[in-house]
Amino acid sequence: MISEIAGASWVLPLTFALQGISAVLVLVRLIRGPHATDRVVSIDALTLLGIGVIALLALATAEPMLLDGAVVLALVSFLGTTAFILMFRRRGRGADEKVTWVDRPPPDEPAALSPQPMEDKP
Amino acid sequence: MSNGFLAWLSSALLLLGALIGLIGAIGVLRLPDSYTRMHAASKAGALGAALILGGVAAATSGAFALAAVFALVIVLATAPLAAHAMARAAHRSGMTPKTGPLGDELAADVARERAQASAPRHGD
Repeated sequence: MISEIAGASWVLPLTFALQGISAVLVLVRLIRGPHATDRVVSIDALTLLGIGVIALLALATAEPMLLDGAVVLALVSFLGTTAFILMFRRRGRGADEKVTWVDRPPPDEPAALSPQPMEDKP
Repeated sequence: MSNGFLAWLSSALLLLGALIGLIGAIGVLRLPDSYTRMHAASKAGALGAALILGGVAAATSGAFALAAVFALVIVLATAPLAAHAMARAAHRSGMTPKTGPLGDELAADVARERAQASAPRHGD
């Protein structure tokens, strides 16, 4: 199952501490980030750090089932990052989608795609 | 004796992965632009996580080492994809990058495509 790693008494705490310092640095960027993209990038970096921490926990607690958690977190972080991308689209909606623009349409869009005012019907 | 070698390899990979993750975190904090931060987070962060998972795979054996290698492959396959898609989405939403000497190639490509799409056709 799990074999001893060399110098486990100091290697594992040191790696945990390094991951913690990295997480604090990324959290500073997450709080301070001027744009939404900076925050999404820092969330992505945090999940990558979390994968490492879960794998380290699997070693430190000698419970290798935690590695399945690392696999799941790796998959979910990709899905989460790609879902955040939907936040940034400005004109990605197709013409066949009946969606009204939240804000004004972009200037190079033809006027037919902009929302028509609804007729008031009794 | 191979067990001792694997133990040393595992420790070295864990420490190297944590150090590279720290370098990536410093890059996320210090770099000037959202795109360069993306570069630090996706490349250095993914390499750090992959090295740690490789260290865990060297320390375990059997099905658990296989699970660690599986997580490693997933990280290496999905992190660049996510960063690439996010960079394109950020560029399309209007964020201008701080360009180096090569300029903004994607903006030039988009402008060229728009010019071709709006130009009158010669065939008919």
